[in-house]
Amino acid sequence: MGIERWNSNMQRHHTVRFGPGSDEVTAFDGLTDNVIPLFAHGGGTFTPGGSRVAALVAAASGPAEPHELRGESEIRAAFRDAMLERPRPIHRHPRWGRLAIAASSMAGLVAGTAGLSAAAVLPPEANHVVAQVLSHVGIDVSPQTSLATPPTPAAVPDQSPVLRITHKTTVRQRAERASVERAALPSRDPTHRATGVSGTARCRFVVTAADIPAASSHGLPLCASPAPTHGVSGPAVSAAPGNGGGSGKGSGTGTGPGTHHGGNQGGGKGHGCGTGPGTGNGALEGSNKDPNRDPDKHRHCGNGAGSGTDTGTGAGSGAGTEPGPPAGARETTTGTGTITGADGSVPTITGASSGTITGAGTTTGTDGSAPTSTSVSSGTSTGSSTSGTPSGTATGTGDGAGTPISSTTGIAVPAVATTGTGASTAATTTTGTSTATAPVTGLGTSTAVQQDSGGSPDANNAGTPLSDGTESGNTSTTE
Amino acid sequence: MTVSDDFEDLLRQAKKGDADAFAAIWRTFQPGLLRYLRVIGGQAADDIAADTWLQVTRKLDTFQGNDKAFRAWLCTIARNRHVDWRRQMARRRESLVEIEVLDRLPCFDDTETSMSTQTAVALIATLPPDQAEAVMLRTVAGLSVSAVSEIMGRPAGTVRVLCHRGLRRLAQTLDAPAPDEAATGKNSKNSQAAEVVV
Repeated sequence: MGIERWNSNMQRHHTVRFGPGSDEVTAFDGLTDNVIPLFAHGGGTFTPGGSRVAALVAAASGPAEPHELRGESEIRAAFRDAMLERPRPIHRHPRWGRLAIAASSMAGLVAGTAGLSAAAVLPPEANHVVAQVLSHVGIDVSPQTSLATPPTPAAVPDQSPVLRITHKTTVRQRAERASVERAALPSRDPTHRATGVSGTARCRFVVTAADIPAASSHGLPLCASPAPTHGVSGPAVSAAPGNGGGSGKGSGTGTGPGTHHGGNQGGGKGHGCGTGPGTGNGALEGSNKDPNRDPDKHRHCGNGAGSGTDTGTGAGSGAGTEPGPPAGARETTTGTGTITGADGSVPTITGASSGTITGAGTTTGTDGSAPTSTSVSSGTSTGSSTSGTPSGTATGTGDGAGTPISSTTGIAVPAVATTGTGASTAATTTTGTSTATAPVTGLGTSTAVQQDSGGSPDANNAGTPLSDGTESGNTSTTE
Repeated sequence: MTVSDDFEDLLRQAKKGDADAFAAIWRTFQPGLLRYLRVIGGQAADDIAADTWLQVTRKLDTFQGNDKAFRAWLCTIARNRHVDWRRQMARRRESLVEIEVLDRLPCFDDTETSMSTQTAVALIATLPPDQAEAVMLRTVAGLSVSAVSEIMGRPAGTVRVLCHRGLRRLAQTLDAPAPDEAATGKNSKNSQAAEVVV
């Protein structure tokens, strides 16, 4: 007499039906029922106690009774309150954030390790291991190569000799060599000869008669002020005649010891070998981790499919900064020029000026007439920083107080261009003292329009034309 | 349509603030929760259940999973609330079942009679606390051994043993002859605990 004792609508897997005439389980829903298997003998037969327990558990899992569902309104109210109190959900992508963090951490780790390895901060063993590991992923962190990147030939300026300095060259050595190089630099303009040491510039030049109207009338910057090349990157060259001050950043080439890293990490499988042409005089480093191999042979190729990384090129390159004179430092510029009047006479202009000289004027010397010179101490306004086209050459290497990695040689671009010959425009001011001493012979007047700036004028720069002719021997000093 | 089918939709709506969806979830899980708490918490079951649901409303956004996972989560919260409540009361767990309830237990020889839910829960509550809890979670709530193990903080093997002993004890209780039958010597069955395969 089997009857269906109980059937739960709520938890179907607890539904139990008993078979006719016995306590057999005829069917039950759910494979994960926790009661039936517990008390079922083989074949699904319940013991009497087991069947009652199953019925009890099924009853305990029965459908909800009304008293159990009391308080729904309170729960709804609590839910609404909680919804009102909760903060607005922030849409974010935690996975992306984690990925970003992981990626940046990984990149930082690799970069940091590579940097430490390249800087040779790590112990040699660790350095070697890091170099090997990173070489497998295409990162070369051998210290020599990282310090010395061989420049391409195109990157080396061909206007000047290239100073090659190894990376071990000291600053002083480099400065000395740079000085030698400067001296060897050819002048780009035969009328200008540049010699100079940082902080002091001397220039000598000749102004021909053809240059008088233009040169003198524009203030004729006979000598350029020190070109403040500090901060100018590139091989340090000052085109300003007589000025070599400043700083230079440049990349040169250097030969450094290369190191060949070839690791044998095969461990009996493959063998990396340390062969390969190192263009530098590098040391061959390698390790043989294969215990079956003669450790003394690690410098040579092993067998197998190992690969070594040849990083033997040790070309040194770097940027060095050689500080120039500080801004406003006193500079002395001496110039010598010759002015020849158009009428063949030799005007003499004598005067001393200090301060800022702004050249603007015209000196006209005509035959028999009285030239009127409103020019400013033509040929004597020296030391000005002028703009124009540089025609001189100079090396801009200073005394090298920086920490350059390689040499600094080449053509620099001066911060202030200088016109040494021809028409010029004094665009900048010269602060200091300018002394012009030169005979002026000729007719006409020479008026110096002067602007003092930062100095006391020693004299008006008004020249007295003595005669027509050539004005020569102008020498000025500007401080 | 079963609870499993609806649950994810209901949960999604409830997370958006749909009170009806949350009420549906509550109606589904509240009875089992209340029975479980009656077994382990006695008369405080209603209060603990209310605290449990309040906690659920606050943390609903953090939950992810299906209905079984939700049931386990619910039982975990309820158990923690019960532990807190017991600490507050600072008293021993009292007997949950009056002796009269035991007297009113139905005779299972009468196959026409079925046990009420309340009686079944009360009978389970007569078990030792850990056995009663294991039985409720494992058999009534339908949680897996691992889930019960996590909720109770007991090893899985212990959970199996507790459940086994509890059920066997229930079987012994249910097989015991009624007082009048015992007097007449009828129905003297030996309680045979089945070989349990857990």
